[in-house]
Amino acid sequence: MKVNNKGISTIVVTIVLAAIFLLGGIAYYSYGNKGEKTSEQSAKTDNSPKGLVNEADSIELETVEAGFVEIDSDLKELK
Amino acid sequence: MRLLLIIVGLTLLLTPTLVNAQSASPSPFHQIQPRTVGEEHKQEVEKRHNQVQEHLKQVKNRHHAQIAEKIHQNLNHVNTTLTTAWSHHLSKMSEILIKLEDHLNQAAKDGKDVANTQAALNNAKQAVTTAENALNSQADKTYTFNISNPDHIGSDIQAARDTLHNDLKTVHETLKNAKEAVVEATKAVNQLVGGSHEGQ
Repeated sequence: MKVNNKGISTIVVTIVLAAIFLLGGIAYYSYGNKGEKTSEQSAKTDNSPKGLVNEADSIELETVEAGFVEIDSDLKELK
Repeated sequence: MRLLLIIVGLTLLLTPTLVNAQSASPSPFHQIQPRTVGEEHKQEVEKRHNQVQEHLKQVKNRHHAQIAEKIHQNLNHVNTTLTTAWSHHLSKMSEILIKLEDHLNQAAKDGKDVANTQAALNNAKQAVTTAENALNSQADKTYTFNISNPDHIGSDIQAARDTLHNDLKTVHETLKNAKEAVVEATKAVNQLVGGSHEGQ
């Protein structure tokens, strides 16, 4: 098969354009993912003084009684 | 020129020493790590359980013996479960206090009067440290019972149950105090700093 200069130029231009689109796609995908992660992280860890007030307020300690329901039920059987 | 070179040389030599001396100073407060159950503790619980199984052989009512064995396992399970869960909360509290310290340092740099807020923060640190010590002591404990009367094992087991219950209540109280102190400290810092450096 005989390929002239014009044909070679077309192939090169096509390859370059395809590479540009591919790199653009990869860059856009990476940027989009990073953006999502950043907003997720900032939603989870609000380090502002107000955010820390909410975080401390939201701590709920497990009650002691919750752990004894089964033990107390079993103990009744022994009496 | 030579003098200048000597001064520069000495400065370069001494700088790392000075920086190290600063970073080596003991930190008064640290990030608490959540607890995990150690192998040694597991073995101790297992050993106690085997002893209880031996003692329970003298109990004629086999149904009662089985229940007693189950309760023995549960006593230690409850202790482990609660102390591990509480240690996660303590870890969170210590993390919050470290962040509050940063806000307070920034406020002091900005020229604000931080004395009262610093007192609230110190109070919270003390309360968290007290709770941490109580929690660590509690987590290392194992619970068991002896059989004094094989026909009435309920009272021996009830005594062990009450001991665990009281011990856990004591630790829970220190954790409640710690949480309240941490909430107070966050409110004090929020009041001092307000929205002046949000999001740091």
